[in-house]
Parts: sequence; structure tokens; C-alpha cells
Amino acid sequence: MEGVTIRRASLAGPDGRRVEQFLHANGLRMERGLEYTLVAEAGARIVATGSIAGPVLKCFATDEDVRGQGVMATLTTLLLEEEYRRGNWHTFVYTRPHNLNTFLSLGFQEVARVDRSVVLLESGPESVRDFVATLAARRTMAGGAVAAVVVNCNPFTLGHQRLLETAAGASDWLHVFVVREDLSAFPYDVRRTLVRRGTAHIPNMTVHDGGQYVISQATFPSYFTRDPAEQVEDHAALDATIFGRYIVPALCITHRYVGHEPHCPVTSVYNAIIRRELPGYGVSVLEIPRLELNGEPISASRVREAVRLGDWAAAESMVPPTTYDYLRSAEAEPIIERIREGRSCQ
Amino acid sequence: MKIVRNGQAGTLESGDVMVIVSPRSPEAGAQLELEVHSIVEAQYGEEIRRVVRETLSELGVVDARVTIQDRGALDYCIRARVEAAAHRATAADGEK
Repeated sequence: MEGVTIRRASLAGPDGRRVEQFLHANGLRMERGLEYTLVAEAGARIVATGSIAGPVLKCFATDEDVRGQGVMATLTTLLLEEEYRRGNWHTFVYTRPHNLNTFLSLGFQEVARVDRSVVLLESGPESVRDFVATLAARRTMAGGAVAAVVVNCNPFTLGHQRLLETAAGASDWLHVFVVREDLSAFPYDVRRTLVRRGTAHIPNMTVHDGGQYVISQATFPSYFTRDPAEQVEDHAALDATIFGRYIVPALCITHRYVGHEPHCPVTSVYNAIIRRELPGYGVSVLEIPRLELNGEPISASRVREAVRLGDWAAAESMVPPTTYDYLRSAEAEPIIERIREGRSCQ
Repeated sequence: MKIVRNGQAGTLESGDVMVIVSPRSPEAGAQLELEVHSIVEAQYGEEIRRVVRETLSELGVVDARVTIQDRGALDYCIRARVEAAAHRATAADGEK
């Protein structure tokens, strides 16, 4: 560490370009959504860097000649302290597999890895074991056809309703995971409530909080940026691995249903990876055609577009009455306002 | 001493330890839950746990979850970090 100083870098200024070049020289991209970046410098030269995005520490790179000098230990400590200041106590490290031993020796625990591309570790008072224990306590049956669906429902549409009805109808039980991350136009509590209201008629179904381990900022950041240039395949493979390794055994899941996705490149890559990975965990993957309206699949983004344009008749034709009533309620006004101003299109 | 929020002390530097003391869910009954991750777990895991329990018992902490990322810290260092983290995790410490 001698002669090395660590400071915060503003990505907006000339530092941004320097960090990007340093990451690039180490075979990494500057990922989107970085909130806080530190650089370690020897003189005017960057020798290490690391960043924060939500509860995730990522974009780590170190120069060969400072490895083993404790630079990563100091850098990681400072990033964790920043996370704690922000109230994120359950933290993750998203990094290349060659850094695995470094972070294990710093006391992080491996959650899952995708060979040669990415490893996810975690630390803090909570862990994936707590998540699995919470799920296992809500297991309804072991044996029989147990299906799972992961949905964001931004907001809940007739398409979602059809998907869940189909999956529940073909199964003894259906577990529905609602994406927890609040990076969508409709906040988590609203999305989950609308799923509940729109599926009240389905008796054999449980709704779960997707938490940090089902399509979250830790497992699948490109789901939220919808940037096809990101490492979508790595993210999707990590998400599928966590699902297969932890969620499948906790709930004795035998089938996973996904909605066919003709338009969104990120979701179609995700579906393809799910189809490829989950059979290895004894899970059959079924892709259900989308419910259509006027020859086009119904999607939450179509509903948001109708809302943005103020076309309430179109919106009403694509969602169940439970969602429509909410959209026209006073409670929804601030969200509708944001969608209209185009401030949140995802 | 009652743990009401998360408190942290220490670092990941070699020879130090990072400690987080957190509240537990009330319905589970009072107990100390220790989660120790150490580069010297095999040789010193039990010793680390003993020092942590002793320090908490002296502080009167009977209900907490303690997460330890140890980097080979000596006893006195572990004690100091656990004590500092516990104090930060109680309501009495500093401004709210």
C-alpha cells in the first residue's frame, strides 16, 4: 500500500474517462448505474478501482504490480462503509471468477458462479440461507407438479393473468415470485397487490417476494437497464443458477413457466438461458404464447404506453378490472404522472 | 444492552476484523447468533467465537446476530471491534 492513495472519483469529469480506460485495459466495461466509484492511485496512475450500484460492489480491477498489497482489502472496506452509510447492510460482490479467492479471503460467501464469466458473493447479517429458510417454511407440497413463475408485473395485465391461470391449471401448486427491486414505474408493493387482486380466483397459488435473489440488481442488473449491450447472458445464467440451486430444492419445484417474448431482446435471452439451464436441475421449462389483442401481444409496456398517451380505453382492454380500478384511483396519480412525463419508462 | 439497529466496526485489513452487530426478529426468543468467516477458521474459529461471546456477555448483550469477517485479528482487536459495533447498535449511542 506504500505510495498508494485511495479517493472518490467523479465519473462525470476526466476521472470517468480514466476509470473507463483502466477497466478496459483489464478486460472490463464500465457498467451502467454506478453510484459511487473509488480509485487507488500510485502517483498519477490508477492501480485499482471498485464501484457501488445499489447493494452491489462491482467493476473491480487491480494492476498486477499492487496485488497482494492489501489495496483490495482497503478499497473493499471503504466501499462497504459507504454501503452501510446508505443503509445497505446485506451487500454483494459481482466480479470475475479469478477474484473469487480474494473475496473469500476477505470473508465474503459465494452465492453462485457462472464458469469463466462471473461470480456473485455476499456478506452481512442476512444471507441466501435465510432466503431459502423463509421459502422452505412456505412450501406447500413435496411431490406432484409444482410450478414457478417469475413476474415483474409493471403493471399486472390480462397477459400475466392468463400465464398464471395456465400454469396453476396444469399444476398441483404454483409459486409466483414478484421481482422485488424498486426500479420499475410501479413500486413493488403496488405490483404485488395487483398480482394478488388479479389472481384471487386461483386457489392453488402462493405469491412470494423475489427478494435479492430473483431478478435483482445483484443477479440481473441488465433486466432493469434493458441495455442489450450489457452482459445479459451472464446475468441471466447467474439468475438461472441461483434459481436452480436454491429455490428449486426449497420448494420442490418441477416446472417453470415463462411467457413467450417476441420483442424485448433482454427477456428473450433470459428465456433462452432458463430453457437451457433449468433442466439440469430437474425442472421442465414451458414457454406459453402471449395473450394477444388486435394481433399484438399484450404487455405491460403497451399498457404503460396507453397510460402515457391517456388512452384509457386501450389500457382497460389489456388489464383485469382490478388493475384498471387501481390505475384510475387517486392513489395511482403520482405514478401515472411520472409515466406521462416519461421519467420512468421501464 | 439492547441491540436496536445495525452497528459496524473494524476493517478488512490484514490483522483486523469487520464486525456487524444486528437485532434479531423478536419472536425467535433471545439468543446470540454468531456468523464467523475467517481466513484462519480451521485453527481459530472456536477461539474467535469464545472471545466474541465473552465480550458480548460483559456488555450484557444477550440477543443479537453478529457477523464477523476476520482477517487474522488478535483477541484484543476482536474485543475492541465487537464492543464498538455493539455500542453503535444501541439506541443510547450518538444522535438518532
